[in-house]
Amino acid sequence: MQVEINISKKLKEFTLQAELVLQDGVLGLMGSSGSGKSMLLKCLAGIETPDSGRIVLNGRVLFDSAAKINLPPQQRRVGYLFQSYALFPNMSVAENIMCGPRAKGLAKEHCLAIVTAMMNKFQLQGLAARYPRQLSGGQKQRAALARLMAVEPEVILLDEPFSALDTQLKDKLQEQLQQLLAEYGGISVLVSHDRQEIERLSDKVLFIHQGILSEEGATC
Amino acid sequence: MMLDLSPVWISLQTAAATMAIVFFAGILTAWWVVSRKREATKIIADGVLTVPLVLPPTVAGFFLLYLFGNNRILGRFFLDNFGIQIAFSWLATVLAAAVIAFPLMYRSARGAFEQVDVELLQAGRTLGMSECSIFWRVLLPNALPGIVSGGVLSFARGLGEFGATAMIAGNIAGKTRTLPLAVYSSVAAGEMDTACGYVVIILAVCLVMVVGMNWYLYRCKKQQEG
Repeated sequence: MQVEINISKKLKEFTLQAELVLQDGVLGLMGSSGSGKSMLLKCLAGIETPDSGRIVLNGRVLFDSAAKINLPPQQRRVGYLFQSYALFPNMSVAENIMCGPRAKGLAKEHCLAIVTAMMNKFQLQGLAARYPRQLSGGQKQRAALARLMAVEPEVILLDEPFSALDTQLKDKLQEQLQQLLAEYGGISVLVSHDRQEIERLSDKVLFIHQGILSEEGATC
Repeated sequence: MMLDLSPVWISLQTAAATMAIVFFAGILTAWWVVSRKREATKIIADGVLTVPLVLPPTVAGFFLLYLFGNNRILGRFFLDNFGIQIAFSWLATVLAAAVIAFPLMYRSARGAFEQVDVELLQAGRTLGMSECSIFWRVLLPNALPGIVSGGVLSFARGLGEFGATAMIAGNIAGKTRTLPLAVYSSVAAGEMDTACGYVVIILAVCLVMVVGMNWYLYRCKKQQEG
C-alpha cells in the first residue's frame, strides 16, 4: 500500500506544497490552524482540487493535472473523518452506516450484514435506531468511524478527530482509535494541532507550516 | 345575499396547481444554481430568476400576454399544435400565478439548500454516494423545513395573485375570476358586502396557512434540539 503525493495549491496567504510518499502506518501531520493541513487532506479525498501535481494511490492515478485526471471523491476509496463527524442528522446510526454499502449497489442482506458487523466492531450495539443528535461525542465519533470503515477505504484521513470532545473523554477514545488504526494496518493520516495526540497515535510525524512540510517542526 | 363561491374554487384550484408546478421547478432550479461553480453564473441566474418577484405584476402580465396571447408566438404554438388556448382561460390564471410565485419557491429552496452543512454533502461523496442520491437522501431531507415554507408561501401567493392574472387571464366570471379579482370587481360595482365576504375568506385561508407553516417550523426546530 502506497500513496504518492506531489501537489501544489495556492491558498489565500501562502501556497500549499506537498511532496510525500505515504506507506502503511499512521502519519501524524502536525500544524497550527490555517497551516494548510486540512486542505492537504481535502485534496487527497477529492473534496478540493489542487492547482497542479499528481496523486497516485496503489498505482491508481487519483489526480494528475498534466493528464487532466481528477477522480471524483466517489471513486477514490479514501475515507474521511470530518472534524464535526458530519453524520447525516436525518438518518439513524444504522442508516448512516448503510449509506456506503448501499451506494456500492450491494444486496440488502449484504448491506445489513456489514452494518451489523460495524455496529459490533465499534461498540454501537443498541444504538442502531438512535439519531446523531441523541449520541454523546464519543458515540458520534465511533458512528462516523463505523460509517467510514463500512466502505473499506484504502486510506483513512482523520481531520482533528478529538477537537469536538471533552478532555476526560479524549484519553479513552485515543486509546480506542490507536487500537483501531493498528488493526486496520493500512495507510492513515491524522491531522492535529495537539502534539501529545500526534505523538501517541502516529508512527511517523511531519510538521506543516504555511503550506510547507518538514520533518522538524518549530514548537507549536 | 348568496355569495357566488366560484371565485373561491377557481382560486383554490389555481393556487394548488401553481404550488404543484412551482414546488418542483423551484427545487430543481435552486439545486442547479447552488451547484454552479462560477460565482458569476450564480449571480446572473439568481437575478433573472428573481426578477418576477420585484417586477410590478402587470409588467410580468404584459410579457406573458406578449408571449402567450392568442396571436403571439407561444400562444399560436399551443393553439395550433395542441388546440389549447391559454390566454383568458383557467390555464392563464395558473400561468400568471406560477410566474409570480416561482421566485418565492426558488429563493426559499436555495436558502434552505445553502444552510445545509457542506460537510454533509462532502461526506456523502467520500462514502461513494452518487450526486443524485446525495440530493434525495441528504440535501433534500435536511433542507425540508425551508422547502415546505417555500411551498406554503407560493400557494398563498398563488391565491393572492392579481395584476398578472388580470392582464393575461382577464376577469371572466365563473372562468378566470379569482378571489382577488372578485374583491376588485365587487368594490368597483359598489357591492361592499360581497367584497367583504370574499375578503374574509381569503384572509382566513391565508392566516391558517401561514400560522400552520410557523407551527410546523417550530416543531422542526424543537425536534432538532430534542
